[in-house]
Formats: sequence, C-alpha cells, structure tokens
Amino acid sequence: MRAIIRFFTRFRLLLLFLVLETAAVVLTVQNNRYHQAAIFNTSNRISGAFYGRITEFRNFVRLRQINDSLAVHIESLQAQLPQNRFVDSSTFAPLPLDSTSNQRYYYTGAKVINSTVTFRNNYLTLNKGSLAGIKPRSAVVSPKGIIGIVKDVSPHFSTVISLLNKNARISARLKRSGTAGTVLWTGGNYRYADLIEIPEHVEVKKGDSVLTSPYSSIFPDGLFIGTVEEVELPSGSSMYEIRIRLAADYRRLNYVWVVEDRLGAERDSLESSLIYE
Amino acid sequence: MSEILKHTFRLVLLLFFQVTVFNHIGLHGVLNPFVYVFFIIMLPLSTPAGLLMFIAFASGWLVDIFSNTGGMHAFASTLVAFVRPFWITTTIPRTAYDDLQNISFRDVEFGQFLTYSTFLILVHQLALYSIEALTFTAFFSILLKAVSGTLITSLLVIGLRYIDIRPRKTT
Repeated sequence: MRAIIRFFTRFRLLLLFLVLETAAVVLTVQNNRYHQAAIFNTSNRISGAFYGRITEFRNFVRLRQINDSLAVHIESLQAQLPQNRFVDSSTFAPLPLDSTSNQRYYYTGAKVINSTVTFRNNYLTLNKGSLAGIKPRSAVVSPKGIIGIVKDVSPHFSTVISLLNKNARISARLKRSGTAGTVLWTGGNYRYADLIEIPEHVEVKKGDSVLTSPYSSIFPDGLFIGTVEEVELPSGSSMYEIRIRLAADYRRLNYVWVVEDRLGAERDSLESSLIYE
Repeated sequence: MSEILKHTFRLVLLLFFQVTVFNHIGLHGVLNPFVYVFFIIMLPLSTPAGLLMFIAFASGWLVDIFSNTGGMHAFASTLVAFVRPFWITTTIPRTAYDDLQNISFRDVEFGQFLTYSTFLILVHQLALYSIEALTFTAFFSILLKAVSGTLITSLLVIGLRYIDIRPRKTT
C-alpha cells in the first residue's frame, strides 16, 4: 500500500499530465468531425480486417454443407441430361429431346435476400422478379426441399409465402404408400410441420419420406418436403396426426429455384370450371 | 494577491486579443500567432508544477471554447506547462537567482528569456499542429506551420515582454 502511495506521489506530475492530455484529446475528438472520422477509420480498418477473417473462417467451416447442397443440385441436373432420360421406344414417335420443347417446368435460380421464421406468417424475398420471368403462384424449391409459393412480383424482386405460413397448404403424399394429404404449419418450431388427412388404415412409420403430390397445381410431383417424425392417432379420429421434420432449414436459405409450371394456367382454368357445376 | 490579479488580468487581455484578432490572421494559412502562450510563459517561476498544468489546461481550454477547436489548445498548453519546469532549470542558470520565491522574469537576461520562450512556443506549436492533423504523414506541413508560427509568436512575445515589464521596472 505504501509502495503504491509512493509510486503515486513520485509520478503524480506525470499522472496529472497524462490525465489532462487525455482530457484534451477527448475534447478534441468529441468536437471535431474530422478527428472522429480519423479515429473511426482506423478502428473500422482494424475491425474490418477482423470481420473479414471471421467470415473467411465461417465459410471454411460451412464448406461441407455447401458441398452437400451442391452435390444434391448436381444430381438433379444430371437427371435432366438427355442421355439420362428414358425414351419409351414403344410409343409411336419419340418426343424430340431438345431443351425448350415439351418442357413443363422451368427453373429460375434466385437468391433469398430476406426471410423470417419467427412469426406465425413468414415470408421470403427473392432477388429476382418479373424481369427474370418470375410469375405469382410459382413454386419455390431449394436443393434440400420445398420452400414456398411466389406471392407478388415486382420488376426486380418477388415475395414468397413460406411453408411456415398460415396460408400455405401444400398437397403432399407419402412416398411409400402414395397416400395424399396436406402439409401445413401450425406455428412453433420452424423445423417441423404437420401432415394431415392421412387415413388410419395407411401404414405410416417414422422416417417415411413426404413428397409433393401430383394433386398440387403449383409444385411439380415428387419434390422432397421432409420425413415423418411422429405419428399419432387421436382417439375417436380416423385421421393420423403426423409431425414431419422439414428437409429445408428455413433459417439458412441461400439459393433457391423458382419453378414455373407452363401448363399450370391451362390446368387451373380447366379445373376451375368444375367448381361452378 | 496583486500577483494573482495581475496574471488573471493578463490572461483575460491575452485571451481577448487571441480570440478577436490573432485567431483571424492566418497569413497564407501558415502564419498563426498564438500569443496567449505568453501567459503560461510568464507565470511566476515559483508556481508549483501541478498547479501550472491545471492553469495551462484551463487557459488553453478557454481558447478552445472560443475558437471551436475542442481541446487542441488545452493539449498544447498542458504540454508546455509540463515541459516548462525542466526547461527553466536548463535555460536559466541557478546563479541568476538564489531564492526561487523572489525571482521574477524581470531579473532574467534577454538572451536567456529568448531561448526559454522560443523553445516553449515551438513545443506548443508542434503539439498544436500535430494534434490538429492527428497523423504524422503531413510532417512537413506541420513543421512549416510550427516554425513560422513560432517565429511570429516569439516576436510578439518579446514585444509583449517589454510592454509588460517596462512599467514595472520604473516603479
């Protein structure tokens, strides 16, 4: 203690000097925009370099995930190659296999620039709009699973009703049995959704794949939605309550494809005439 | 008491002229006299070092308040006050005064006073322009401003010393 006091008494002038000079510098910096800018530029340069390193590291850590998603994407592309298509030789004349004719679904890549998962009704924003050929009521899918349905388009952006939305009811089927039901989200955890309208006589197991069904007028048939996580048959009900784990992680969406059904309008207009009968 | 009054009066007068006249000279953007340093230079030799720094800081800050410079003058003045005691012992030999309490600048030779004041003014100018630029890349610009400012301020300080001390000598 005495040593500390002696230290302070010996250096009291130097300490006073430093305190006063620090006060003067603080006053100068507070007063002057130029000085503020000079200090902030320096600190930004330091923190900027730091954040750059962190981002680099994070990207490196995520390489595995990115590779996985790319592998899945390559698989889907390979499936579209002409040599991988099956040509039914029993038909009268094989269809011409060029890239434009007879293609029903058109894929447009887009980037998710905004998305939420925390609300009851969640939406996404994509960085492409009507100029890129995106139309409302198109399906939005990611390499892992389906995402949602395009709601509105502006020239450069489009909004998407996420599956995590009260208004999203997607026609789905169980891969094993082919039974059709409806996938909807009742809120809560964004990694899980519900599959309803599966009757009790159908065999459902944990781990069964849930795909989009051909009943859907928006999604192509057979896109992955998720896997069955929990099956429950409420007493007195003839329908299962099935909880499914969604394949797509809505919190980590990056690139998605907007799928336009070129025959969707024709189908819709034909089916809508049924309603008035 | 009259000593304190005298110094206060000097400070007020110097501040007034600094803020109204000398701040606006800025010849060619480099010739800036800061005559208020004269106040710190002329504080009694017996002033305790700590008090000296406080007074210098306060007077510099007053200039800052009126010139809207934040704390630049406070910074430079405090540095001058910090250096002053060491510089006095090197420039003004102890033989010139026996009793520190009774000495005043009246008894200091002209040559000694010149070296004493010019160096302190140079320190003040260098500190001022360095903190203004807040970088050492503009080194030659700082040096030019500091040297020219030191010359003009020293000239004014020597003149002020004569105005200040002459009448006292006759009394």
